[in-house]
Amino acid sequence: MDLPKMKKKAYQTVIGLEVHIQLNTKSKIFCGDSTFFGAEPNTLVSAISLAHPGTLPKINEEVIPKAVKLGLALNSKINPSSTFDRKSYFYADLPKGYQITQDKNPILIGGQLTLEDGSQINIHHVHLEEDAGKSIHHLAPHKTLLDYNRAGTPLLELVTEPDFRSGEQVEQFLYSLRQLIRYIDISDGNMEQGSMRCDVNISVRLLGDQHYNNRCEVKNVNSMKFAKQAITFEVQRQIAIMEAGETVAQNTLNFNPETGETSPLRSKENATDYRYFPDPDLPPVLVSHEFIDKLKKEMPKLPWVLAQNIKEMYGISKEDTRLLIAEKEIANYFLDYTKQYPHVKAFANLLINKLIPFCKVKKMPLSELALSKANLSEMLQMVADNTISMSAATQKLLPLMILNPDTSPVELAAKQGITQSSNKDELSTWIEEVIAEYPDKVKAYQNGKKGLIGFFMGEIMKRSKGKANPKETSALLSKKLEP
Amino acid sequence: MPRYSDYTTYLQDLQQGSITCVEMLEYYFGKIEESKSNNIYIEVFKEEALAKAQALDQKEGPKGRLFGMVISIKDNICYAGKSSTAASKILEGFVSTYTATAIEKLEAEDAIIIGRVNCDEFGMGSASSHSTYGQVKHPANPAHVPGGSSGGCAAAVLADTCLASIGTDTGGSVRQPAAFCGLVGAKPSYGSISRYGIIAYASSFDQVGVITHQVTEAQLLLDIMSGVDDKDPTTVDQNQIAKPSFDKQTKLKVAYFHDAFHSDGLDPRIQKESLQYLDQVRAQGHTVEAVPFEYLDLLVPTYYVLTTAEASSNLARFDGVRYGYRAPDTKNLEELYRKTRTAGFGAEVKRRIMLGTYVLSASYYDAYYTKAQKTRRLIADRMIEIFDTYDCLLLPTAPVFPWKIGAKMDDPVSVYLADIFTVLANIIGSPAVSIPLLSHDNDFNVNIQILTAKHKESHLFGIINSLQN
Repeated sequence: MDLPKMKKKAYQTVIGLEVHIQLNTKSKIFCGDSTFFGAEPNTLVSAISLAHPGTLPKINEEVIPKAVKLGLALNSKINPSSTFDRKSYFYADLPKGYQITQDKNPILIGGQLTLEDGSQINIHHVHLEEDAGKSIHHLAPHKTLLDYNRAGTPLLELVTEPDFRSGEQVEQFLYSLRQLIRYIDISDGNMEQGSMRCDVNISVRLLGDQHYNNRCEVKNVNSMKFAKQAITFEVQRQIAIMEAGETVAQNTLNFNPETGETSPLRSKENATDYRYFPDPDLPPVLVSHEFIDKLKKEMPKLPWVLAQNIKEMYGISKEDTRLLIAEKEIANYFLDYTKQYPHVKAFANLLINKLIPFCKVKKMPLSELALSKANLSEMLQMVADNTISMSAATQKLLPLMILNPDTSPVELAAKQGITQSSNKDELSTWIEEVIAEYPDKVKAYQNGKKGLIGFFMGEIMKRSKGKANPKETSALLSKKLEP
Repeated sequence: MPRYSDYTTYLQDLQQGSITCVEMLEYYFGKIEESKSNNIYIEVFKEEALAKAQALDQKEGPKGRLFGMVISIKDNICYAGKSSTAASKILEGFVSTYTATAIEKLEAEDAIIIGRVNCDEFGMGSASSHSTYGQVKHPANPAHVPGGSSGGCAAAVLADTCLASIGTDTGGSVRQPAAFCGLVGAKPSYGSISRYGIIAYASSFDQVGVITHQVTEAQLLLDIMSGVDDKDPTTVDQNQIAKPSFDKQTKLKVAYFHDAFHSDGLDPRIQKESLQYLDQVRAQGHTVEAVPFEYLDLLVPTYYVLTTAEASSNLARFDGVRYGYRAPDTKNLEELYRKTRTAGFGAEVKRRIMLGTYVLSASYYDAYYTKAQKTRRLIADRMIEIFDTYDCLLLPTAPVFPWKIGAKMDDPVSVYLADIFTVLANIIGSPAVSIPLLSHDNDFNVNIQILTAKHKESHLFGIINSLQN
């Protein structure tokens, strides 16, 4: 598509999101079938999942606290009595011919999420619903295969107000939301496996306009990168239409991750009438004050609260804080350390630069690392005491500590002779040996070539096999080099 | 005359050894053969029923409350290992993997399920004419319809092929055929009996009901089937239906609607006998008063808007994809749906799906569905007021006698209007029992209905007991 090189006018992008969050319950929302991901097709399907005649839904009580926890985190109004509706449409992977959802009276109303850039995204509502099965078109020619394992998996659908003004904001929002749902343990947030999916509503208007123009809904966006790509493409497409003096038609679009482009799925004229009406099979979902209070007490610290605490208490940079709270596991590991041991800032660096990358390579969780926090703290104490250099600690001592988790780092360092020396006699011996070996260079130094100090230090380190405490050595060396 | 018209006599004979469960069953098998032309049974569970009867004859120790009772079930009730088709071609070949909760409870009390009987497709009809298996004939007068939709149930009891039959009642579907066949038809409060395993027609109206010779059997069966079911969240805990709660000496306050007993559509003989019954109740020393009820003409429209809306959604699952009938040679998904549902559903079912889809569509939702929900609430509120003052309400069951087979087929609205007196109990979710008044030898019977407030079943049966004395 040819895009205009120069825009004639200033435009504003307006975006709203619908995010589907798959809840991490053991069983489905309206029956006891397992929600296990990756099972053989059609093995997690009872008569209820398959909508056999005479079957009825029954709410899985496990979903309610999960929804309420999200509401507490987003500061939503928690509906004391929400109700289920039926959304009717025919599709082969929708067993009942309708989806049970919450249309008129959802479980969470309103709420906000604040982005890293400080802007606040308002939540319109969050509702409970069931997922459909999967239609598989690519496995057999001219045939569609159906897998109903996913049918009935619990979902929360979060609908935002049209508060986004850029793809970056959308990316930030999805990042924070995914982090949040993992922190409060309501979903694994895995976008590749479809545990978090996103429909993006995009429109463009002239900067300063108050009304919204026709919007297009992009479906099936299953990564943050794709969301940004789809928005970039769609915004340019809509601006091109407006620049040509035409009006954007309200469409539902499909996003193609291979081309990064959107294409029409259906137009508004073909929009389905879902014929929502209250589901007579299900009583209202009741949430009492007592229940909410109980959950409030069980809520973990939210990522943005942790970030604030870490920055303020330990003076750790914004970027490092972001890394420390990226995942709940890392944050907990870090916070556990801070509760018992000193050298927090050094530990944060160690965690970010060594431990996290190490675990990532080994594909193992931090908790399985064979390093006790006590030993790590002991190691950092040695660095603080100048008994060992930081580089020797991380490059030599750390691997030894992993291999010998039951031996104390002090002992290990001593055994391997990597302890730093500050012993003046020892240092003097090394220094004098070097001075004796390079009289010319000593002379040159004394005549003003002060840069040679690095050369002497290097030679001393070689002799000491790195054990010489650089600070002490350098002070002593300068003294001895004086004519 | 039936071999047994009450369970007590049969049970005594069983205990004295003058009959066995197997002999009883063989007798009913013979009667099923004899009444074959009436097109009552779709399938007789011969092997399973015999095995159960033999086991019961051998059974030592404590016996269930329905020991040896032979019961038929309507074809819209699921029974494990058997077809359940709701008399529809669209469920051709479907075999249920489970048994409805209500039927499990009967079997746990040593009842014998003899087979599944014909009905109107998905319970939609008043004459058992709309069935893929053909018209059910009235056993006493085969030129006439037996009522519906549980017409097969009523015919099965009247033809002496079982002691009782389990049907469903969405707008009168057990009470009206009970009236057409001169039997007892009882529907409990909504939420009383689990709907799990009942093929849904209109979920907020559907209830399991029974057709029997005697009121006592109806009470016993409802009592056993009722109770909270973990599989149906609309079930509620209520007092035992069989619990005696009534002092026979109590003088009752009985309400009736003047217009119901004087409406144009009411057959003169039904009117005469119903009014005579009111006098008879008065003569027993009870207070019988006409109460104003301004919603009589709204009952049928309210009922049909809401039930067709729910039906259009409940029947969406029958699409030929996972089970049942699938049209051959279809090119794509839309054609599969269109051809399967066109050939799979009968005319009456299609009519109601279309009506329901219409009233739920975006442009008409408020004008029909929302309005009908509001009238349903108004009617329920008014009835609560009435039941605050009165012990029960008397109503005719059907305004007309069983019509001839083939009549009224092209006049659905007049058939809908004939539901006027039975739909009230389903709209408000109250229990209702239809009982025969007098017996006429070569003529059709007249039944009257007794309704009470919701979940007052034990009270309702106490009242009937008192009135029948």
